[in-house]
Amino acid sequence: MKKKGFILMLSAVLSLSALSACSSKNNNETQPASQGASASASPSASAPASEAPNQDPVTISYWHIYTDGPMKELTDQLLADFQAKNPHITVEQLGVNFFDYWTKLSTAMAAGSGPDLALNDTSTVPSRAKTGAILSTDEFIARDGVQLDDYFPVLVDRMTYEGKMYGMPNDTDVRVLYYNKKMFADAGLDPNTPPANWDELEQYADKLTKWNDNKMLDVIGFSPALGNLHFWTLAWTNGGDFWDDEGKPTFNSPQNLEALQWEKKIQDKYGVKAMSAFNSQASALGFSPFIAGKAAMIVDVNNLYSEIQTRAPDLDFGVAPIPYKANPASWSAGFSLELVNNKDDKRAAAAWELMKYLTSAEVQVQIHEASGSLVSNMKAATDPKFMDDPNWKMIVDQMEHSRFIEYIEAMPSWHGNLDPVEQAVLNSGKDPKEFLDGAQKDAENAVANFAKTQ
Amino acid sequence: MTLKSEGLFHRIVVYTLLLAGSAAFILPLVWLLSTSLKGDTGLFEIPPKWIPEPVHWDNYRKAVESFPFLRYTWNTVLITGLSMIGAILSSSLVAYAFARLRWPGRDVWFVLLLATMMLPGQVTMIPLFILFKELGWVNTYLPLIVPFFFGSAFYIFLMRQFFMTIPKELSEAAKIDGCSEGYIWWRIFMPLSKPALATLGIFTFTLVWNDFQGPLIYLNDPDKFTLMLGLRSFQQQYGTRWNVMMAASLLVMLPTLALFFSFQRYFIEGVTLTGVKG
Repeated sequence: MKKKGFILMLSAVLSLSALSACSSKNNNETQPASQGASASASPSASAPASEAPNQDPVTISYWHIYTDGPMKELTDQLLADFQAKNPHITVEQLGVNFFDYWTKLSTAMAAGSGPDLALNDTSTVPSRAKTGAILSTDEFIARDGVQLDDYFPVLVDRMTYEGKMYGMPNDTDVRVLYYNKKMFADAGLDPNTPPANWDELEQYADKLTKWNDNKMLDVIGFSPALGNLHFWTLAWTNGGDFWDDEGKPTFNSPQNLEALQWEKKIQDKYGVKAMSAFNSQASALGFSPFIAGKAAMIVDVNNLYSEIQTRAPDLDFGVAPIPYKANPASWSAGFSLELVNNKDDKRAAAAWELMKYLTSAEVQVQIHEASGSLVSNMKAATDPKFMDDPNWKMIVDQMEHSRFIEYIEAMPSWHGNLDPVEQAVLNSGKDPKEFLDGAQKDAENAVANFAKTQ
Repeated sequence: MTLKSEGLFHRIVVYTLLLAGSAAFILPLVWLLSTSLKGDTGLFEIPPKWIPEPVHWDNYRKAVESFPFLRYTWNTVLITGLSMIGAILSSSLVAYAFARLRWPGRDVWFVLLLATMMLPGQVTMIPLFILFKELGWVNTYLPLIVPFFFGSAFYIFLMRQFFMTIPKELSEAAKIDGCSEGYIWWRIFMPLSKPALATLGIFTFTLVWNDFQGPLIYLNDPDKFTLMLGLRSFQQQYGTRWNVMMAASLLVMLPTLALFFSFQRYFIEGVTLTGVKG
């Protein structure tokens, strides 16, 4: 008798766990209108803006990536200031470090439990705008007279989907050439004339490279494998493109191939052996080989400028546009602030207030001062007190030619497929044409497969 | 004489191997300690220095002050403790049924159970998250603890294999004395299974203590965070405070070490359960 009761209990436990697996399925099937299904909801979503600010108390959540250092302190302070100015709004902030933030945010948003205001990746705004996961800010912008002209056009352009603005740009970055003026002078080059085109870059690099007696590299003149010059950026400076106007891949276009071949030509001057020895030393440094005086020229993100200022304030260096062949170009990525569609107008309106505050010129000046980042508000980024610095001015000026990765719905991270191609060519001596053709085929397949799902 | 010298030689070989092995395992820990005491500039020195100069004890102060260390420790202890209780009770109970009871479809269920081990966590992440969200459990500890009260395939398998080695005569004798199955599980099998339970306990402890993804996706309120989430806060998009992070890591690791050493004897005891004399 007792035994029977025990078995019953056990089967109860087992069926319970089986049930729990089913119930998640049921929830999705029976409640399509629930927030859980918001990812597939239609983009009905433009938040109606209330005429007068609602003064009822409201609590909103704001997720960001500032978990340590000056930006964490500034965020705490900015949120305190904001709440003092808007006593009816309480902000619950959550900072998760950059590397884990995306897991947290995408899981929460997929389940419809995202924050009201989220920092997110500017490059992928269209994907969230299309599914209705985020709200258009057009009506808020019009109501409050926010001037979109104050923001870098490339950012506003990227955050516009089907003619509507989704969120506000927070900050961005841009790639530039850094060059060591002292090494230029030592090599007999003019420290005030950085290389402007590929040929000059190559000639200067040859003069600046220093070999030691063991046939190893003491100083590398310029290597496309160092820093943050990606193949697509260099291809853009050659007039190359990876997608045509019809959304078809053009990975193996002659301009792109020429850029990759040029990279290989430069890299082959050093050889695999000397380069891998150099790389293992450089990666052990924990900071850029340019700061360590191991690289005379490097293409890197504007953030390297702040790093030089803290780590090597005495370094005599200059900043220049990326040397180009056909036309100047650079690559930018950035963070946007977005209103997550939580189907709550009051919270969305409060989140907008915070978004407006964080992207205002006064606040963005403070953000630049704390982090050195290239803030999206041009009034702040080009504040006279920053533009007195010729290096900073040079960085900001590059925004004129800088572009984002195209958002391709069939292949949102298409540029991620090009890094391995570049590495195979540069580090393993693979044939540029063969590998670029392979990437082209992959992209064509991705587009074809995507078309079948539509 | 020859026997004795052979024994000596044997011992020298064994101890040399053991020493080399333990050196290999302790080296990362020593490096952890060394890094945790370095200044910001000495981190990436080449050649690397093992003994920092000067010693930066204040890294430990910074580590404890960078996030609410005590609060996060308590949160982590709470989650880990409850998860361990859940894992030990549920898995051993289910394992007892698989090992000792006869019921229809038992083997089919057992294979089904083992099959669940093949499901990668990534596949169930979003469905589980949606399930817990519908239950209103997001931003609570329940999604982190409750699943352990429903057993886990690997632990059940582990306990079942161990229970199978316990002689039938013991439970038969208990039954003759009028003992129920539940009572046999609790009063005979559990006390005899201390080595397996200790193993299960340590597995659960390290799993939950070191779990990062669970707390990351389920907890939204910084006051509810665990130590692992606190540790990651030192890593930023551009740069990491390695020395402070290592200091914090060392502090977070200490309980794991302490637990291992206090349970170590149960692992070794495993040999004593070889059978009934008579």
